[in-house]
Amino acid sequence: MNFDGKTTMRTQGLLAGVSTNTIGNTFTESITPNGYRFTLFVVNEYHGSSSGFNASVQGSNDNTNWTEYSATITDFTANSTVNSRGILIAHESSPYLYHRVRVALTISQTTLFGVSAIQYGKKNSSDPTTSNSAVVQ
Amino acid sequence: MNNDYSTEMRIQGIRRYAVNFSVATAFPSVSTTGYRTLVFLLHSDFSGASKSMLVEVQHSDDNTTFDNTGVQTTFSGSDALNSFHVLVDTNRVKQYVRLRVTPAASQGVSCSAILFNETTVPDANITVSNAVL
Repeated sequence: MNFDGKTTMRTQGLLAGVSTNTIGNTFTESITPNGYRFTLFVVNEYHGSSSGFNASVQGSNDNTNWTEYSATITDFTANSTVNSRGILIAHESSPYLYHRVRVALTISQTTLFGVSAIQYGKKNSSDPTTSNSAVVQ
Repeated sequence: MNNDYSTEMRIQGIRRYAVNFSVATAFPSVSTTGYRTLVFLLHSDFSGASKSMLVEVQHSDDNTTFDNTGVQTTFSGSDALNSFHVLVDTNRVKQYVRLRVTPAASQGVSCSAILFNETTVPDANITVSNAVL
């Protein structure tokens, strides 16, 4: 399915801007399909110098027990700007109902990051309505 | 066009700003060449208070002189993370598109762009969505 360019899209914040230099994992809130075929996780990250940051998606069917589910994105390389990377979930082929993003700092380096999800490909008119959007079309 | 979920979309980090009360701040622009749809994704920290920001969509042919497209909206919220998006049909705008943000309170705002549905072969410098499930 190609993105239809219409307003069948919703956006949800999953992780507020976290500033840390502590090595370890941070997990976002989880998200379900909400009636949409696709969820695009967008990870924003900014740091000053050497990079030691990666992200991946985990899946669950009970929102409690999580399985590492995606390849790990490691190429957050540029400095002092925003590095945005995405992971796309096609829900109709996913074995999991709940998804969340694991973000990890691997070296002690002050890093600020946040995660949002864009959901698109609405299946039914009764599914959740578009939110938080403006449209030029 | 076939959809392989990887080459038809690219994601571009734009910028994070600490924006100030009533000061209009323009984000760097995005070139829409080669894509049908552009989505700006804004992450804004309203830090627990009810706040809002005016967002205007601007465009340019030369990436220097920008005009308003006439589309603007006000996003509001009260959470530490508020995510908003602006959807742009690239056939309706000039080559370069940017957002200009005027907040009703000082706060942090970051912006990224997602370009959907390639119409041409991408250039060598793009960043493609990194993982697909």
